Amino acid sequence: MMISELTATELQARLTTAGLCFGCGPFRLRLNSSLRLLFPVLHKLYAHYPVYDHSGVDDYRMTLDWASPLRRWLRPVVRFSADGPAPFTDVSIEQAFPTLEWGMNWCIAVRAHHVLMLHAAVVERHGRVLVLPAAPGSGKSTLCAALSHSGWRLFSDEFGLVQPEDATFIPIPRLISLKNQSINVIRQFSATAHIGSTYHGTHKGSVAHIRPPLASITRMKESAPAGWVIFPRWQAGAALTLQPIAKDRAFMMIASNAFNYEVLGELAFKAVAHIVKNCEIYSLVYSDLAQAIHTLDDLTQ
Amino acid sequence: MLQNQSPAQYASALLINAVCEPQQLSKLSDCDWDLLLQVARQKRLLGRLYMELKRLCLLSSVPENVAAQLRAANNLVTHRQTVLAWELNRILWALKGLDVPVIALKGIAYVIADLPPASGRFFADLDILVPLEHITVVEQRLLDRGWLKTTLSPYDERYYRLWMHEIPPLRHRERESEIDIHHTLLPRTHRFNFHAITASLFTEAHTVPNSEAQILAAPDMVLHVLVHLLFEGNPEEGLRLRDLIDIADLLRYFGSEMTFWSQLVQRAEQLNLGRPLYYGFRYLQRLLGIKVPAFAIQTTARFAPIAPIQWLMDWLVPLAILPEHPAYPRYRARLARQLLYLRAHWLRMPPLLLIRHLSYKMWLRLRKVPRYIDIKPQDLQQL
Amino acid sequence: MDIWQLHSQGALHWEQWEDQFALYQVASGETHFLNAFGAAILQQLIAAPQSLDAICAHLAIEFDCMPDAELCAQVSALLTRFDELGLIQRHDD
Repeated sequence: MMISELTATELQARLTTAGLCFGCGPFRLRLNSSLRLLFPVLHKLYAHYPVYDHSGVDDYRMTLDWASPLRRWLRPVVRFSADGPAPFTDVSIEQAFPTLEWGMNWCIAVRAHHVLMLHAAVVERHGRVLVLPAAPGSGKSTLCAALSHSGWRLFSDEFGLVQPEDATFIPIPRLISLKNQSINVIRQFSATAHIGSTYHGTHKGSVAHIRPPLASITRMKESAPAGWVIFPRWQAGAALTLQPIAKDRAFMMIASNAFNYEVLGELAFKAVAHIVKNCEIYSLVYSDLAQAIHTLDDLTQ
Repeated sequence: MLQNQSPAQYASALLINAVCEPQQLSKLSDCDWDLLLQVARQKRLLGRLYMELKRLCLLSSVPENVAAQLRAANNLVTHRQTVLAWELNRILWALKGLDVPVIALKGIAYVIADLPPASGRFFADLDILVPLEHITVVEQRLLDRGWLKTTLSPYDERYYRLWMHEIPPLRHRERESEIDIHHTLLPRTHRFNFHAITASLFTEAHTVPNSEAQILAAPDMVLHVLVHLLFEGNPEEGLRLRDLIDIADLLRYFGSEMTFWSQLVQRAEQLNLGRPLYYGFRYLQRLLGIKVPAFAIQTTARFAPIAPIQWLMDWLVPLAILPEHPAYPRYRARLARQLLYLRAHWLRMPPLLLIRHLSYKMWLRLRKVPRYIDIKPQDLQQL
Repeated sequence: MDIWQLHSQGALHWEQWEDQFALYQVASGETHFLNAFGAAILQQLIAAPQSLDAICAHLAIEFDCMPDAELCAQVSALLTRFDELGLIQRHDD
């Protein structure tokens, strides 16, 4: 059963009692919240995630709720927590949903040390994945959103999860988070992208979230090896260039892009070496999104 | 859940059984695993459970995502152990030629001497012990060879130098780990101070194969963990169950030699640590079911406190050391953690200083430190 | 003159791309990046413990340059750095 198949009342009942248990990629998550404004957002944007029975072994247990029952009326702030003290400062109720998304990323990033975690967007086609490592201003989420709505399967917008033993990528189809101008860019690029409300004034400016396409969730247990690593950079007015990157430099760039390269030690060294050896690696500078997608399509035919 | 068992008792029993009888772990239901993972995470024992299951070849018999969570925790443990063992190696490299004895303490000692508590044990910092008269040259040599002082407020710097048993932590400019350099095992101001005989820690110390660092003699090692367990409270975390488990491991390992037990009692008396040893034996038996030889119990009976204190400790210690059920936290457990923290602080310092220190810390807490919610690789290594 | 050798906990994994190398040092968990020159020094010491002069003489042949003071200074600086990183140690330590 998917979250969209729950009625609004059933969804609310789960969130406010034992918790809403659902699956995302390899993880089983449990969310508790009594924030009414969150319920319709979850119903829409989390629609395709499978609902799990509430007795089972959770990977992450998250709570997003009023910071204190009293302050709810004075200064309405909410707090995210997961198995312990709150990792972030409290935020205003308007920012509840983006905070939940960041909180979930935080949970995965601090704990999932059984896999190598790249800070990257990942999409798949013809059984191989294209990895887009993140750097400030890289526009990886914009590219990821555009690719996921142009015939590629979304693996992840934020985490390239790598099985260290064989360097295959594991899907974790979380929502794609768009910032500022890229929200409109994607609205114009794809009529089928399902984009939620825009939240203004967060610490990252305005953000909006794209619901992962249904197929990315129904196939979220299907891993794939990497075929290409593309380091993107968006630059206003730039002519498109696609330049191969030397393997030694690529190794350094991928290793330093991972959240937990040091933690996995030798396993991480070998996994990154495997990716570098088996992938075509380029840097991509672009200004026009459609042209960039076209180039990537050609490259990966 | 068994009848008549509170949620906290159930959660505790689950964790204690997992630690004491890991061979039973393959029989746990999903619900029990779910709870066990939460309490073991609370007490930082996931790595240990992983190593026990691995030793017993039971990893494939537990649910897949349980194994994944345990492996994740253990990868972090292995990483910390590698990094800290290497930090020690580099310290010894830097100190070459100084002819100063260096004793590895706590976690790092278990790792270099390959003692049972090392298995799956998470530890955050590197602790070493050097004689007080050499501490300045040691610090200076490390500063010359790439280590840096961590920036402390003038208050904290003064607090360390005047009152503590260690100097402010150092960190290598290219690495993350903090190193704590101690000159004795208890703060200078501590009630149980045995400053006068700190030198004997060095004369009794043992060498370790393949390392130039030494480790404390077995009785001193056990007493040091006890000191750590009973005097290093933390109001949020309570007393550390993993310290008690370390003691259980060490006693099991060293205790097969009967002479060890009498040496332990004798040494405790010499170091003025009879009372902590008495408590140690008492709660090891009561909470972990560890067998202590009758004669050792008898000879430590004279270190017992007066009956009301005994009664109070019997109430406080289990509350503060055993895990809480995450869904049903109890006010009395929080109270017990806070009271034991106050007690630990009380013993560490003369009362006037205590009030000054606590009020300063309280003031710091009132000034809220901003926290950001960006994920950066360097934030990501807690568990 | 000091004789240098590989560190006693010197298990290393190598990756090579043309004239660049990545090196995983098992004991420290650190990854080091080396150029051909650095890698050649380390490989010399893996083959056998030797002195600064012997390493310089060998490198002069391998890289077709003069075994002069400049080369020696360069090698010496790298040896000091390798020593600090715990990749190598003095033979008598």
